[in-house]
Amino acid sequence: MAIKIKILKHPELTWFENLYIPQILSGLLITIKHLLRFQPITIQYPEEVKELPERYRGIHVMPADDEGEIRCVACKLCEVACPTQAISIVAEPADDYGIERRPKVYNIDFMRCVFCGFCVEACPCDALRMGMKYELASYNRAGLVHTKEVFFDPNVKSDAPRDNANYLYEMGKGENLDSADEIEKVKELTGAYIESESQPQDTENPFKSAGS
Amino acid sequence: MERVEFVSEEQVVINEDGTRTETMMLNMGPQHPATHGVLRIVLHLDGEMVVKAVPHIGYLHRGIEKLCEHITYQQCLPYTDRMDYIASICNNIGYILACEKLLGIEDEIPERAKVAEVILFELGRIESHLVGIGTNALDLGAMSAFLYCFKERERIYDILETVCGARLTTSYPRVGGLPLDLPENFEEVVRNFLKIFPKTLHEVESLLTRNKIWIERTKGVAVISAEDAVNLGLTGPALRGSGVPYDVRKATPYLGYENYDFEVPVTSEGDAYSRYLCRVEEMHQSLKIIHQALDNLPDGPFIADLPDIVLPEKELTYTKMESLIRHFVIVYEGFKPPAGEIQHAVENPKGELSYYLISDGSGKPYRMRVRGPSFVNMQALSKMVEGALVADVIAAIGSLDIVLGEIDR
Repeated sequence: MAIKIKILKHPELTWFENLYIPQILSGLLITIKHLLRFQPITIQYPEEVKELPERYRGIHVMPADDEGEIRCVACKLCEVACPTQAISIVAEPADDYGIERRPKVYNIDFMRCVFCGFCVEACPCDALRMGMKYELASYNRAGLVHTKEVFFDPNVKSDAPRDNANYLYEMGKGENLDSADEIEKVKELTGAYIESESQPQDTENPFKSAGS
Repeated sequence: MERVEFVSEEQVVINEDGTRTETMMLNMGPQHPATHGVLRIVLHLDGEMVVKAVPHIGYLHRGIEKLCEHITYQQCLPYTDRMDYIASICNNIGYILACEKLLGIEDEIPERAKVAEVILFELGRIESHLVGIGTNALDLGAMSAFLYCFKERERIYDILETVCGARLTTSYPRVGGLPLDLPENFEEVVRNFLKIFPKTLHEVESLLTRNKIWIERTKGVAVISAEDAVNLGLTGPALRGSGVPYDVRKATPYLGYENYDFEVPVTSEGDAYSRYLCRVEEMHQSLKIIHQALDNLPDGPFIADLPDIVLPEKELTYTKMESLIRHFVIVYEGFKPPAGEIQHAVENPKGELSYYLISDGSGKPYRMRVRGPSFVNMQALSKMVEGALVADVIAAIGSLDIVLGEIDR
């Protein structure tokens, strides 16, 4: 394939152009034209705010489910996907069966976060989204570590179907897990897993109501 | 090639009448505004003449190459934003293409993704050249040209923001295609930009190209011959300004660049003014490419159907257990390219940017090496400014258009 080349020549200036003054004047003409047109391209920031596109990647938001609860199941996939290790999660059992998990602690450190959006891409239950806010000033470092209470926004609703094990199990069987021997089975299966989690020892036994 | 001494001895000359003459050492930077970041140049001056200029780098070193060895291929993407932050979308696309080559899936990338990447790449090129010309003019005292350039750059950032979600740190394409389809109004906003931009480009040209003051400051300044340019490994406008018609888009086409009709601008003088002319013409050529790409933007899938590499659709992840498991595996372990090594070069606005990736078969790169154009182009600085005036050093740095984020990595 022959390469198309465009050879550029240095322009030859006429004697008129060589007289500095006309060039200065023609330059001034352009700037004065802009001045007279008076179309400022800047905006008066705190008073005026720029309109952001739909995909803008701002400070994270946690949408609410149908019951107005946090959707996160503490699967820690966002923590894994984060290239800067900005997310830290501690899980706890969300229900008496010890099947569902929810975050006990969900922190994003905005001193590390680079707003790449990989956490949102990784989230398998639409519990995390990129929001529209970007003002992140703080007087101290602690103020830049946001918790789940800050992210959670009950006004943002998510209608993505939930896919946790209990939900699918109930849907598939068409029955609830309330009979005593079923609970025992689940306890046997998941007990070892729950204990291996890094949870503080002083928390209450998640199965306390199972035996009662 | 002459060896550049890191710490030079004082050159003391005893004159015939017994007086001493010695060169003065002057640190230019790292805080000097005309060094485009944190470059420090140790200038050895004889009066106002530069005897020797030694650039010292490393003030912005973050160890990106090493950091990338500890994270998955996907997670390296935001790090590439932060190398050449003036045209981060170009770095992103270059990295993604290298990963695709490593995986051997170049042929499976949908056409829509390729064309979209070409458009974004050329927008990145225009954006980078606007900054390059604008700051070069600003350093030499032409403030209005800089402002008009930045006004247009803002428009490109708005387009990138609608497509990628971020203005500067785009992190947009993914291995296999695009993570999200182009927004509905994409064609409209790009066409709108194509309509407005030539007017501003014309204004900038009329402010500079035939301006006697601009020509006096740049013509015959910071000259590098074609032979030296090739020997030093210069690429991009710095090489083409010296008369060597090398463009990666033509030499080893990627993203289907062989199908686009565009010319490689070349000037033979090799001075700062020639590089400026090359950049302006490249912007015209980029506009031509964007026009062609927009006309041929196909519909259809925007990401390849590769279950081992590409994340499943969100809907499937929410509802299907198989997709959910696949989603977990890809996020946790990353895709695993076969063991081997590849090198992939793209024509970044500043020159040839190439990624060298070694895979050991795991989900993380064994080694990632970046050949950045700014780093190599900066080597020409010492040669360019030898024997020149101090004020010409500013013109030389500006005309090389270096970005310290990429030099130091």
